[in-house]
Amino acid sequence: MSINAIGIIFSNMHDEEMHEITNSRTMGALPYGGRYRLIDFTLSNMHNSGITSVGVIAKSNYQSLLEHLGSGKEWDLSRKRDGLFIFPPFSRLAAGIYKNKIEALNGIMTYIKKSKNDYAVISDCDVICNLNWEQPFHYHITKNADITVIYYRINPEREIKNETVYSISTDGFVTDILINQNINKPSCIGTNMWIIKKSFLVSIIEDAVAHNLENVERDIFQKKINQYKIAAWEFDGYIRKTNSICDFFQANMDILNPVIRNELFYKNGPIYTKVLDVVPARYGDFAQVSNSLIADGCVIEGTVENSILFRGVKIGRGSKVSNSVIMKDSKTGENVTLNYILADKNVVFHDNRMLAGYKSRPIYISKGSTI
Amino acid sequence: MQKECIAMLLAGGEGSRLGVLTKERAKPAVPFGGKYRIIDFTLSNCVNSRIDTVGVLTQYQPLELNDYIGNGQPWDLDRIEGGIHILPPYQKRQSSDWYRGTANAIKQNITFIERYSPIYILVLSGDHIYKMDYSKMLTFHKKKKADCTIAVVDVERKEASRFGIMNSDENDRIYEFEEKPKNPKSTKASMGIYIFNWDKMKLYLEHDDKDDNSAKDFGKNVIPAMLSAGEKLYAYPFKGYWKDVGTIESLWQSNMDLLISKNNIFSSDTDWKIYARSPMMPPHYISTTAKITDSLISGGCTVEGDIHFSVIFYGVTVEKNARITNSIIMPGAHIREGAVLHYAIIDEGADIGANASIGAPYIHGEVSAENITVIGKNVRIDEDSVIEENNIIEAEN
Repeated sequence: MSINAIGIIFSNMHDEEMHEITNSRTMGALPYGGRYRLIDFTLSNMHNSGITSVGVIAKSNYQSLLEHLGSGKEWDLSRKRDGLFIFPPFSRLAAGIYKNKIEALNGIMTYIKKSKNDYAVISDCDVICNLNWEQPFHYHITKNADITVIYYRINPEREIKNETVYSISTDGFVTDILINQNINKPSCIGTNMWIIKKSFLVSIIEDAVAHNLENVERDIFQKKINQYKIAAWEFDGYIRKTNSICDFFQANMDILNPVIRNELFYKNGPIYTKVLDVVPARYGDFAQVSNSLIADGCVIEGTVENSILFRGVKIGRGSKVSNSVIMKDSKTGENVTLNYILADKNVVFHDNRMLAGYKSRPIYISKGSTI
Repeated sequence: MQKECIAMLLAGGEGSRLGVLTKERAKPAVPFGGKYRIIDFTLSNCVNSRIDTVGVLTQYQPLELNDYIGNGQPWDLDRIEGGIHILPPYQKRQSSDWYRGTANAIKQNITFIERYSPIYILVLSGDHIYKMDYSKMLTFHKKKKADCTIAVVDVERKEASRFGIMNSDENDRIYEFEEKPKNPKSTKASMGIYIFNWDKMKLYLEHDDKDDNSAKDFGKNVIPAMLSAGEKLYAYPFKGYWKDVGTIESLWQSNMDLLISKNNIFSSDTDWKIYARSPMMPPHYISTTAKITDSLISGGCTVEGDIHFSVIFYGVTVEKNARITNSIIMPGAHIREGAVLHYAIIDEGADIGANASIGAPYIHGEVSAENITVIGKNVRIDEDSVIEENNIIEAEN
């Protein structure tokens, strides 16, 4: 149960698409599912696939990410050989913060070259799924591909913006790549997860830097599509990208579905996260809870339905929380009514407050607000 | 390296009064409070009191406890200097012996203790639920210039004859010790927490070890010997929640205490965290058919039935129409559709069949804590079976 690859994770990509939530944290540090952060899925998937060396590229606002990752021991990545490597921006040239993935990969070239594994698996952390890398890895080897990209099929109910769409031949290779597409018909969507031989990665990055190329997908994959063998592997399980507040809210709501919950948290191994040592959730004598996910440390005296409560949330007596996602340590007083609310960490709702959003537009309440 | 004070935690007792719960595990490894084991309280107290060297003396059924403790990382006891050490009895060139009594267990580990050349030894047992700052007790010990300090807690007079009672003067100096007295003179019960000056302790341990009539026990032999020799023994008064969980009833009762805010040990002194080895599980899920009040529920559970006045550990499944009242359900147990549990303790991984009835009939209402029904680890109860109150069911093997 181990594949011959290092993992490389971009913790920051797509931050600007959800700027309300990612103002104070990177995408990877985004809280999700009652007790996780998005990067937990990426890291746990790599750990569960037997990857023992993982480099995390951070760009800005990475304080909460560093705090979350610590030494990496929660993902079994605190090791003498290999382990977790965190790469904040390192200004060797005047450039400072890197502008794109090519610069970022070039910046960690020493790490890529030094590690003993032959392959690299590369991922963003805006994708929520429970993936075992072994399968696409073996596919990559059997197909004798230069690059293998992971995609999934969608049949959108409403238009989805800014996605990468692949055309795929019957023998499983990418024949065309369309970038920044708005989609309203069945399509194959890229996940920004790919597998590549390390020596090949080094050569294309060095070449890209020499030619001042900027975008991996546009300037490398798309331009060289006839020159490189780009295989495509379909992920057919539950997968969700978080490109907007609404997506993110819906992704949280999805795990109220038992089928999705089982697949996401148990299928290819557990999802690991930082242990916080909080006590089990406590239900008071007037508690009424229905169709909800409740994390440790919650104290529930009121009513909660169709909602997700993160660790340490307190719901006061007479309060009613419906269709909402309430993040860590937020509190409601008494007789508060919330409907379709996405409350960030440490929000305080005083007694008798009433707030309601709508299904397609939940209201986001920023970190530490007092209502 | 030198440590001022190290802790020795006596975790080798059989805990036979917990019956089937300690059939395959040592008492300190018994699950408590939804996600903890009893030993978590003592270990967390040590770390929070800045004691970073802890020897855990194991003997009876140590496997589960050893696995649980591991390298001590959940309690921050994986240290370069000190940390946690599991100390089972071992074979020696001259003689080999099991630990014969609490004092003998410490005696056999003199070599371990002397590696740290400590001035003080804190002796603990892993079978109580309490939050205590041992460093304050050590300050008391130093201020009194004591040879030995014993922590005591006020118990109700009618309870006092179940404990070792310390009779002390107005300066807290102990002049008499009575083990389970019929007519107690005071209500100061020993908590089984001792601080000794190591040089003094070593002397008495070696002396006691040569006495063939001695039971080699701190309470029965060492403390009385020190008292009659006129050593300075002091009683350190402790105030706060303290519960012995040595019996099924007391284990059940102290779990139930968690459901009442004023008795909940976690809601007092929240900075004094209790650490535990946590399983990696998602938050628990409550379905539309579930009704839950006055209960504690841990991660990874799926609840579709009714739960009232109960403590539910992680990874438990409660199916539709199941009804759980005044009960404790330990990790990974599965309660199937329509099962009714009233005043029951269900051990890890047990599987309660559909429509089974466990414990006192629900119509009886309040049931005495002595009539708890216990279903042992991994036991399967067939559907529709009836297990009446005050029963203990263990796996056949």
